[in-house]
Amino acid sequence: MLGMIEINLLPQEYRVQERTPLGLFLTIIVGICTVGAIGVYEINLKKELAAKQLENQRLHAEADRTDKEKEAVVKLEREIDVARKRQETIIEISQSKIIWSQKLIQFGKIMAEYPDFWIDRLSLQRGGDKAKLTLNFYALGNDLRKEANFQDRIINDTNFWYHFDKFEAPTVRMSPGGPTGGGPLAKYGYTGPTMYFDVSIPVK
Amino acid sequence: MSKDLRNTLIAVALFIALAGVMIYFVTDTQDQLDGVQKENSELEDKIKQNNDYIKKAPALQRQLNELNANFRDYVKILPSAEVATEQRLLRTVQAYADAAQIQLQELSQRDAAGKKGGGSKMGEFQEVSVNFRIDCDFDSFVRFLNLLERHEQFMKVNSFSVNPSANTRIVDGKEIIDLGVQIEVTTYKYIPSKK
Repeated sequence: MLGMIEINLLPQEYRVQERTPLGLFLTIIVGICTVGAIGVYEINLKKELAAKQLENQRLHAEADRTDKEKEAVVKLEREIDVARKRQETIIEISQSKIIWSQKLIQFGKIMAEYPDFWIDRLSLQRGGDKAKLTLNFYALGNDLRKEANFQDRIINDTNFWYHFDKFEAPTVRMSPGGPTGGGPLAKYGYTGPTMYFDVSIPVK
Repeated sequence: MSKDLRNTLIAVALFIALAGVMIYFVTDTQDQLDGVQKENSELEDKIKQNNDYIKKAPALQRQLNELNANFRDYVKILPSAEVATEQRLLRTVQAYADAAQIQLQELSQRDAAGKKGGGSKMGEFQEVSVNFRIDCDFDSFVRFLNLLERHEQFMKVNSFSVNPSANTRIVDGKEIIDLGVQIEVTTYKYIPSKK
């Protein structure tokens, strides 16, 4: 038996290798693991994305439904607003009614207590929201205390004064007695002093 | 450079390129996911707000029913649209003038105008007014006013003016100065707006 010695004269890199070089092998392993991990992560993300998109569709549908229901509630609120204003208006209409015949009777009773006073003109004027009662009247004499008492009597009559606010800028014109005096009573022979009052009373 | 080293470097470069492409896709997917999550969170907030709002619906419906029921009672004080006409108002005024034994002197009608407030926008409450002049004494005037104000359906004296009449009359030797009275009477009718 002849023993044979095999000698490979090729440089190391050209020699046939029996196994993958360790560096390349490790690179491939690490590369595959890294790429694989990224791939798995991507697959998970895609799954999660799909789930979230599905949830998104459901939420969109629910948001649309609740939007419609909210719209109905908003419409309801608008209707309530209109109904409330309508109710306020009708209450305002009904409360705006003052029984003037009763007021005039009450006023007549007050006037009866002051025989020196008589009404020349009386008017109720409507003006926007607030009406105004205007009185023009005369009184015998020229004593302003009588006028003050008369005003106090009116203000202190709770029933009559209920709908009124105040005397608005009352004006008093005094007419002295004498041959040219007497005011409107001169033609009846009265020549004494008289007072003429111009009073406005705003209605509350 | 040895062949092994070169092969290894090529493999590294390939894997890096491949990983780069995959990271690009992962980033893109992550961005999409973040976007969807953000949108979902906004939608959830919106749904929560809507649901909170919707919860009020039963109470609001009850409130509306209550208001409507109240209004049906309130509106009964006003005459119906068919009844509250100028013509009907004239007939009423004439009937009460006859009852108070006074003579109507002059009559005019004012154009109807919308009432302010809830009615004005809808034009739901319409004013119907007549204006007339009478000559009478104070007692007759008050009696006539009282008859008008006690009318079964809503009637309101809007304005009046009482002045001494220019003409005087003599009764049993006494000079009687009648009053010249101008009165405006108003009623309202409810005309529901068309929805």
